[in-house]
Amino acid sequence: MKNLGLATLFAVLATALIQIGIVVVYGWPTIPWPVEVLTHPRVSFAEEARRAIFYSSGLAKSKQPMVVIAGGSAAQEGYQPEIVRVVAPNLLIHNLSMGGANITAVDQIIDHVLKAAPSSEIMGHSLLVLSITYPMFIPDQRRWRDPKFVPADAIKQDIVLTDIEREAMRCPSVCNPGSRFFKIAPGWLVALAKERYTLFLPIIRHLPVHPGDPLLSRKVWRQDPRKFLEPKSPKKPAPEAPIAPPEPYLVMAHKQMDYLTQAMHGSLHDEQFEKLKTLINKIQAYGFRVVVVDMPLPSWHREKSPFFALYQTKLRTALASQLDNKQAEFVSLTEAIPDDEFRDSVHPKAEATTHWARVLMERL
Amino acid sequence: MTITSWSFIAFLAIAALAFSIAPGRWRAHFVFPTTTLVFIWLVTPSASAAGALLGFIGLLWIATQIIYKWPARLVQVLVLSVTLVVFGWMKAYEFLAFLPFAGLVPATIGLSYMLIRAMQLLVDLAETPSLRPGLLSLFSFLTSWPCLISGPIQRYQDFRDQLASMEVFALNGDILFAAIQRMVKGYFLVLVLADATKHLWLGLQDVSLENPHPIALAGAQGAFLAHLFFDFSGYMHIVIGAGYLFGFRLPENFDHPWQSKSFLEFWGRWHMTMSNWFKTYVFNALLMVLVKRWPSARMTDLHGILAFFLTFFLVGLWHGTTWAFVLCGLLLGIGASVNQLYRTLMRRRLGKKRFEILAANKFYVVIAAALTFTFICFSVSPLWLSFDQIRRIVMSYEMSGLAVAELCLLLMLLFALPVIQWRPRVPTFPASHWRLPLMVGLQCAVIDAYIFLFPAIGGAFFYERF
Repeated sequence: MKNLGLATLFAVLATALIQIGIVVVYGWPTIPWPVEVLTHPRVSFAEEARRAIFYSSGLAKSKQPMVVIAGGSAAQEGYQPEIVRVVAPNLLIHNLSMGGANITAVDQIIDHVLKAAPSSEIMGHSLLVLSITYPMFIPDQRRWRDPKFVPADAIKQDIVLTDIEREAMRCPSVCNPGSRFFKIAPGWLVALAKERYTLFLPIIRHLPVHPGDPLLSRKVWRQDPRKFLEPKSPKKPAPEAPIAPPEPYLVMAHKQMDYLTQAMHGSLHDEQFEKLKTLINKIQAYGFRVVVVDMPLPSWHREKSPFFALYQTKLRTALASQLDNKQAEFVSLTEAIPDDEFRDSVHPKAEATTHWARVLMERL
Repeated sequence: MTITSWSFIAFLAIAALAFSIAPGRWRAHFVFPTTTLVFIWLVTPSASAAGALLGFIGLLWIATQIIYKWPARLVQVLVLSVTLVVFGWMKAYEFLAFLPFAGLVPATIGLSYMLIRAMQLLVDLAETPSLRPGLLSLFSFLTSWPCLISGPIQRYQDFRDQLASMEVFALNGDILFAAIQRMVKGYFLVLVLADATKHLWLGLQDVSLENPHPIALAGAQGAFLAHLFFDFSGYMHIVIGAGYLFGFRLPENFDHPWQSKSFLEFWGRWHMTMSNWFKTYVFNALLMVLVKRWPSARMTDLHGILAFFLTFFLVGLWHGTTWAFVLCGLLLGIGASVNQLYRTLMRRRLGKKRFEILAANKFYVVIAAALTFTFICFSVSPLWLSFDQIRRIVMSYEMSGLAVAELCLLLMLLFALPVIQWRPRVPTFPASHWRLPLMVGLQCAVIDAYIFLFPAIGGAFFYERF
């Protein structure tokens, strides 16, 4: 038994040493207050997923009723807590919206939010804003199959992995809402367990996805030694390609809309609408007031998108019973923002974010 | 449940606790079989797969009864043949696709290992009727959960003795630490080193398949063997450590395979229980048949070469069900028989003593080891490449590209192997009695940090597929 005790002691010491080393080199992780998932500047969806998982525990520290915003990148950029505070100084606003999230990913973030929820008294007076827009209704099999965003391992193994699930694999028992520990343990214990890992966070963005990736990226693997045997021909330097002038704003914005349209693969499925209904029921059961906000879109986008009209019909049908039963409130901001405040087909210009925040606060 | 999951740790803790507190006489015939049933339920992919597994055990039980009653050679051969055909049918071997209802049985785990354990019993039973197992003992032997998925392969005689000693087994602090130490080492190998080499191998595999890149192909071959070693030897540490908690002393399966200087030596150090099984029950049997058929003394060397070829061909075939494994078997057979031929010729030419002196020479050792591992990496390629991929590689690389790839691999190994084979022993710092706890603690800390920093997606234990 003495050996077991010694081994445990050494394990604790070695873990502490590793973490101290990380802190010395990369600094102590700072958790933003109010909680915000967006990084300034934006790094990656994976970084945002980590922030959503680990920083959500901070919600438990809220001593006053709060507004928690969850949604996609438009809500993330449009309702930054620092800016919202300017227009509503008395409110405590947390923004856990994540870039590239569909409703499934939002649902997974909400699981972390609910686990970290403070006392029921504060919850009863708090507001959860679900900021949605039609590209967020892309089905899981399409959203989480895109090789641009999803790791090749997951696609090869035919696993549907959201950004949140992928990052939760770092600490599956603590960070995965499906695990027994997460389900059974009280919120403070889950928060404490997550806390242990936060010291590792600063190093992650400096690491490759797999330890061998730097070795794999070497050009040597793609060399063919047989070429050394071939006679050399004098190489002519390739003429430099002329630098194309930047495209006008509207051309880029339309291209982005086309990308969103193509990602939907021609149809708007019911899957994510059903998930939204279930999500509202789940949030409501925890005592939050739920407000569904239909996010602003430029007029040309609303007119030209093949999905927008259908989306609105489906959304109204999906939420009808919950709105009738006062389980949720609905705020439509689709036409609330003028076109010149969009930097592309969905996101706000930096200088327009105060206006975006004011519009939201007025309607809430 | 996988062997690296928390569910397995929970299963192990509960099973070990139940085993320790149960009265001695209940352990072998109630607690251990129950834990095995729970294990099967947790690891088999479906109820029908578990049913198939139990059905196969039923067949093997009937086979033991027949051989016990009629131990004649002809009956034994007949029973073994039927067992092999049923096994091949259940595993859905591609070359047995002509059999009726081929592919009907759901894929399940552990069949290959159950088969060779059962064949050992069936062969020995004809000569030693006292080995006749009861139904429960046979079930426990064939499905003994630490060995179910991928071995190690234990003989029935050894298993029976250890089952009998379960009654008096007492778990104490030393055994518990020994078990934890082995398991932590195993998890370190599987979760850290096997994972790191796996991504290297898969990455290089992708590069080598997209276009003819001989260096990447060489790297993929080397990285695969390294991955397989860490994965498989780590798994062995885990199950051997788990076995300690139940009084099992499972046989070791690896003995520093990287120290091998020849193909045949490698197979004496790698997956030793399988190699020993094939040596005892296939190689020796084949040699006897050949000697009886062609008893001339001049044929002795040829007998050995032929027996090695057939034995290693079967080793390759046993690993998988596709045509790629037929190719793997052929390559392994060629490797073994060429090694034997070389040994015979060198002994004839130099004499035994001079050949031994040459074999001890450091430069000879490095070159022989590099050549050996180059061929091993090449011959096990069908374990990670499908038949179609092999065909594509042969077509696109052409002979020159393949030769360059193997030359590159040889060069890499010429540099890497001396470092591995001549590495200095780990110093016993800070004090000998602190070394093991220190190693366990360090390995735990590294596993914890690695899993967080480099989370793995999926990643079943590689040998499970066999």
